[in-house]
Amino acid sequence: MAIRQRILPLALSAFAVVYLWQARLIELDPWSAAEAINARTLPIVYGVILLVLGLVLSVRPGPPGEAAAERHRRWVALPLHAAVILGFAALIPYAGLWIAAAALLLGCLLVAGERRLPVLALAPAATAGAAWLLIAVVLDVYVDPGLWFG
Amino acid sequence: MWEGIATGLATAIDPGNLAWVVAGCLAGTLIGMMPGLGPITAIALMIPVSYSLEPAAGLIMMAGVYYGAVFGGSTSSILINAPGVASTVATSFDGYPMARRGQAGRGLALAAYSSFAGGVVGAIALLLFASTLAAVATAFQSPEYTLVLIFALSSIAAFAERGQVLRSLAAAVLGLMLGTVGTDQSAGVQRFTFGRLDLTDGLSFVLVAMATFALAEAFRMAVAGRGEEPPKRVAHARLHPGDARAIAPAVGRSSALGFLIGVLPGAGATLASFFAYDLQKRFRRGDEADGARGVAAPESANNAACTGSFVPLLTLGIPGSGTTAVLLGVMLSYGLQPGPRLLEAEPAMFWGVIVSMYIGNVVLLALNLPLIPYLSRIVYLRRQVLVPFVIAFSLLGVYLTSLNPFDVYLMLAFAVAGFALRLGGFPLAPLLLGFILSGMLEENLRRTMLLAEGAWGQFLHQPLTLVLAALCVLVWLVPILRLRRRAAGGEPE
Repeated sequence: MAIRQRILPLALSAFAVVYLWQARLIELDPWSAAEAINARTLPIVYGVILLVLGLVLSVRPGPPGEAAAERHRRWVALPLHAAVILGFAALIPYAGLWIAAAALLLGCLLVAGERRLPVLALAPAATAGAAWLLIAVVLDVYVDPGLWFG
Repeated sequence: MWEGIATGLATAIDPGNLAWVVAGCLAGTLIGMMPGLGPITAIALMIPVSYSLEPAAGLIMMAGVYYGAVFGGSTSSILINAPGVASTVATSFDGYPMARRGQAGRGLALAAYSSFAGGVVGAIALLLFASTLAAVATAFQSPEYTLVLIFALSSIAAFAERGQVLRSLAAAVLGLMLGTVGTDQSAGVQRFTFGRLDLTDGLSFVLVAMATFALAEAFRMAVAGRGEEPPKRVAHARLHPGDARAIAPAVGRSSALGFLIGVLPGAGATLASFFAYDLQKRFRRGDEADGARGVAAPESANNAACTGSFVPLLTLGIPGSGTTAVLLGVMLSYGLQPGPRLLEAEPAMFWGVIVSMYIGNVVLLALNLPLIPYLSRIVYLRRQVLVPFVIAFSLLGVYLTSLNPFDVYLMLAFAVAGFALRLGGFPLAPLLLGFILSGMLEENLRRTMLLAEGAWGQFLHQPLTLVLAALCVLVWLVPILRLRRRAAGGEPE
C-alpha cells in the first residue's frame, strides 16, 4: 500500500485533532453549558467522527484517487497559479479591482502556457474592461479604485 | 394547484424571466460543455450574476443553468469522452463510440431529445406532486426536520460510489465542520473565528462553492496538462430514421426511474444515469449494436433526476445534492426560506420556478438542436485559455460578493485543500452538502432538545418521527449489506 495514500487521511485526522482542541476552547456561559446540546457539542462530535474516519482510511485507504495517474502532471502549475492569485489579492487595495483582475488574467495565461501576443494583450484588458462596464457602469456597484488611483 | 400553475405560468412567461431562462440555458450549456466543468461549477460561476436579479428571475435563470450544464456535459462526453460530471459518464459509454463512428451529430441529437423528454417528465411529475408534498411537509417540526437532515446526510453513505463510502462520509463531516465556523446562532458565542472579524458571520457558501468546485477544478485542469485530442467538427444534430421509435420505451422507463431516484436525498443524477444505463443493458442484452438506447437511457434519467432533486429542496428546504445545495444557498441569500411555507409565502416564485423548468427544457431543445454545431466548438477551447478564465471569473465572483481581499486568501486555501481532496479520491459534493446542512441540523437539533428539556425520546414519540428514524437506520444498512455481499462474493471494497 502506497504511503502517499495514507497521507491525506492522516492529514484529515490531524486537522480533526486541531479542530477538537479549538472546539474545547469555545467559551460557554453557565446557562448554555448546562444544555444537553450546546455550542461545543456538535463540533466535538464532528471532530471525533473525522478523526476516526481519517484513522480508518489511513489503515484501509480504498481505491487510489486521481493522484495515482500522475505521470504527465504539471505540478509546478499549482504553486505558480497560487502565487498569481496571492499577487491579485495583494494588488487589489493598491491598484483597484479592475487592474488587479487584468493582471491576474495575464499572469494565469502566462502560467498556463499561453504565448500568443494578441491573446496576452487583448484578453486581460477586454475581460477587465467588460467586467468594469457590467459591474460599475450597468449595475452601478461602487468598487474602490485603489490607493494609487483613489 | 391549477391556480398555482396559472400563477407560475404567468411568472415564467414574463418576457424578462423568459429572457433569463434562455440566458441561463445558454450559459449552462456553454459552461457544461467545457471539459471538466459541471453543473455545480456552472451554477457557482453564475451566482454573482444571479445576485443582480429579482429572486424569481435569478432562480429561473439558475434552473436553466442547471439543465443547460447537464446537457452541455453530455456534449463533451459524446464528442471527446470527457464527462464534465459523473452524471454524464454513462452517456459516454455508448455516445463516444458513436462519435468515433462518425455519428457525433446523431449522438448529440439523441442526447438532446432524451434530455428533453426526461426533463419534461420530471417537470410534470414535480407539478403534480410538489403542492401535495409541501402540504405534508407543513406537519414537520424540529424533530422531523432533524431526522430528515440526518437521513439526507446518511444517504451520502448509502448512495456513495463503490469504495467511496468512508471518503464521502469524511467529506460530508468536513463540510459540517466548516459550517460551524462563525457566531453560534443560539448562544451567540464565537466558534473557530480566531478573533478575526472576517469570520464572525461564518464562511460564505459562495466562497466555499467557488473554491471547491470552480477554482479547485481549474487547478486540477492546470496540473493535468494537455487536454484530450480534438474532436471532429459536428455538421448537424439529427436523428436517424427509426431512432425515435427505438428509444421511446427506454426514455419513458428511464425518465420515471430518474425522477424517483432524484427525489432521494444524496442519490441524484449520477446514480440515476448509471442505474438507467444498467437497466437498459439488462433489458436489451445483445440488441444494442448502435448504442442509441445506451445514450437515451442515461440522458433522460439524469435530466429527470435533476428535476426530482428539486422536490426535497422546494418542499422541505433540504437539498438532496451538491447542485441543489448551491441553489439553496442562492435562495437563502435572497432571503427566501425554501420549504413548505415557501408555497404560501411566495406562490408566484414557487410555481414560477417549477413551470420554468418545463419552459427551460423547451428552450434547451430549441436552442441546442440548431446551435449544437456551433456551440460544440467550445470543446476545442485550449486549456491554457480555459483555466485562466475559470480562475479569474471565480475569484472576481467571490470578491464582488464581499469586496474583501481576505476572501481571496481564504478561497485559495480552500481551493488547494479541495484540489488535494479531489486528488485523494474524496468527492466534494458531500462536502458542500454537509456545509449547507450544518447550520440547519444544529439549529433543529438544539431546538428539539431545548423544547424536550434534553429528553432524546422526543425523536421517537410521534409516528412520523418513528418512520423517519427507521428510515435513517435503514439507509445505514445499505452500505453494510453492500459490503457483506462483496465480502461474500470475494470482491474487494
